[in-house]
Amino acid sequence: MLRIEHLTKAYGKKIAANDITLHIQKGEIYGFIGHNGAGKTTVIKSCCGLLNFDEGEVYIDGVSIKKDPLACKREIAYLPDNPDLYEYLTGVKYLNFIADIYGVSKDLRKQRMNEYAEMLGIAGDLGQPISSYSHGMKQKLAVISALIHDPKLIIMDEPFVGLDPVAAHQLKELMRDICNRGGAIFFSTHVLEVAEKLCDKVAIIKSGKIVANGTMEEIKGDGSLEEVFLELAEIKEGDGNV
Amino acid sequence: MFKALMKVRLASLLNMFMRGSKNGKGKASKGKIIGFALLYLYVLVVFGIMFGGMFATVAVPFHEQGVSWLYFALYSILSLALMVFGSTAIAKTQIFDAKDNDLLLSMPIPPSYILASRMSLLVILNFVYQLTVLIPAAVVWALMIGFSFVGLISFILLTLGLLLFSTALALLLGWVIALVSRKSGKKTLITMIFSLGFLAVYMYVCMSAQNYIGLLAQSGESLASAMKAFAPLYWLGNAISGGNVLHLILSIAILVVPFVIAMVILSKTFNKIVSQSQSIARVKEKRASFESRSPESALLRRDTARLFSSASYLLNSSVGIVMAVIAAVMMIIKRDTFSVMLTADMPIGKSLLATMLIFGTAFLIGMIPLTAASISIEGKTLWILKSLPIKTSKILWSKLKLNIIACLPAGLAMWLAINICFYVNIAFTFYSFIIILSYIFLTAGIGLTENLRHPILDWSDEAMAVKSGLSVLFTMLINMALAIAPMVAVMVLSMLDLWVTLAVWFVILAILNVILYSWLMTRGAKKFMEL
Repeated sequence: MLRIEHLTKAYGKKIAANDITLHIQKGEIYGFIGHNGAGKTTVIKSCCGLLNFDEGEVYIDGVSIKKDPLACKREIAYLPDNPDLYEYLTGVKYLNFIADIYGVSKDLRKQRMNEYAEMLGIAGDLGQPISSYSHGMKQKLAVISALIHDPKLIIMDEPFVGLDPVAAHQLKELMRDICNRGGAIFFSTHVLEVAEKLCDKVAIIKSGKIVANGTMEEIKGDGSLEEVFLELAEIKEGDGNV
Repeated sequence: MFKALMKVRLASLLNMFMRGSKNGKGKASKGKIIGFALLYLYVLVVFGIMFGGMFATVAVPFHEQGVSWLYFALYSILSLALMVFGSTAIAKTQIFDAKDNDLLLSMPIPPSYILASRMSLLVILNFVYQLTVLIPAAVVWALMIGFSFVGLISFILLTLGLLLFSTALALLLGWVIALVSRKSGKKTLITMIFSLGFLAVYMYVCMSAQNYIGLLAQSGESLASAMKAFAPLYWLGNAISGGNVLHLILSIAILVVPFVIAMVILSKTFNKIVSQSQSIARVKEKRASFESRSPESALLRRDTARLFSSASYLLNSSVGIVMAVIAAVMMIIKRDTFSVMLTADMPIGKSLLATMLIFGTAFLIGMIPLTAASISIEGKTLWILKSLPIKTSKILWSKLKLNIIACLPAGLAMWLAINICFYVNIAFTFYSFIIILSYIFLTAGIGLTENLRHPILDWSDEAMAVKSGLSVLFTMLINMALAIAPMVAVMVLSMLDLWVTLAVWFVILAILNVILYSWLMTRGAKKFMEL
């Protein structure tokens, strides 16, 4: 579903993503972990067509994001780490705008909006301006807007930040449900417990390079993900993949 | 601590005006800083000449009639009006709606320090406005009449007093606007009404001053006796012209005390003000609509909603529209007066006058720089448009369309009025229509191009995105040049053939439009995705 091949991106002399290769299959929840400034957001934004990368390729369901960004964007949904939404619109107007761009029919958008808004507990607030929302409510609205066109692939940057425990639990359920229906999810997180419980596969990035990737069992072995992560954090740069 | 706060404020002020072009994040080059300084100097000179002419007309007559104090009273009124008008909106956003209040209050900084740093910024900005009146007033008086030693000291002290007084007034008005807009829940509308009201009053004062300045010079004595009734103005003027120390002390007290009171009240109530600024009125629930629209229509609706959500964006873009509509209506109402002028006094022909008015219309259209801030205003939400499966050219076209739609009523109203009042022939009617239309397209394109080249996306106050920065400035200057250049060309070349000049100008506009729109839809679209 998502194929990242030798992705490299530099900001001036600093290489933010260095020869990244990852394959995310349909039905997989793929976790992407790394310390602050490791290059997670750079990789994620490159996959969504928000950032031009220097080398390599990103394929969404076999289509190159460089060659046909629009076709790729139709299949994916992106959820940023900070839900900066259009504060001048009400929740429902924002969702309508997103649905209009994706060409979601009237009935489908109504059904999905109601379903997800009820599930995340903001159905009563959709008529209010987004400027009156709390951080968590904005995050929930961003989640609904990401799901409104029923994407095949969801790419999320720190999706659990700002969500209350109930909403976080519901989002995890939703993620699993999407994958069970043949979708795929690629998301970054700092919460290792969540990654450990939720992900089928995980990749660890350090200073722009993938230092470990594979199934959860392959990565953590008999220990915990936290132990592996901390151990890898000690490895000096240039030691290569694990 | 206060020094650190001031440093941050000044940095934000400089950043607002002199940031570099790449993504709006880079540092300004030396050349750019010098260019900007020269530009400000130019504005200062233009205003200086305008006010200087006014002061030069009244200085000697007032002096000879023994009402010299009236000269300085006039100076006080003009500078006060300019400062209050210029800084009220900034007072509102900087003091009452500032976004970093929470951050600053969470640190061990006394509220009075935060407030003082913000007030200092206002005082600096006001001083910049004041200079445009202060310099011509002082120079004209010094050259034509001359200051006494006490008079000069009084002038300096009272100028400082006026600066503080105007800041206090701007604070009061800013507070009233913020309060009314919060209570009513219609922030944009209320701010718009207040701002347009200010603009109308200011323009009326300026236009009246221009019209009646000759009359002022002749009837200074009778005016002086009427204005003397308002003692503070007399004290202020007499402190400078007559060197009256008692009047100086009284005037300073009147000017400084309101500022001190404002500082004390605001320091004591700063926390309350901050907490009030964050309370957002919940709107009445409306039945949700799930109507689907085409992506193009959805984009245009969103851009329109953005425009109407921001008072500063709306106001900045609508002044030209309002002025054009007023000018068109006035032209039709005063139609007979124009006809009389044309036959009796005007040495130029009807076709030449109508042509000049068409370029005047272009000038007004150039004052609707909607696209010049349309990308900057996206700010941190730009990721949404970039992540959507829609062609970038469509996103840009939606912004252009909004600008074009906004300009059309103004352009058409002026076109109709010109052709009703100064009908030349059917060819001119057609010609003037396509020239105005070309201008509308061109100015929209120029604004968007400039905003792509000089975006400000990391703003904390949306007025930064709308009012400052190189994008809006360059757009306005280019638009002005594009309206003034043909006026000059027509004046110079009309002796040869007005129609040939017009045809050449239309061809130039058409070529510029083709080049600009081709760039926008290709390289411009690419640039947008790189932001």
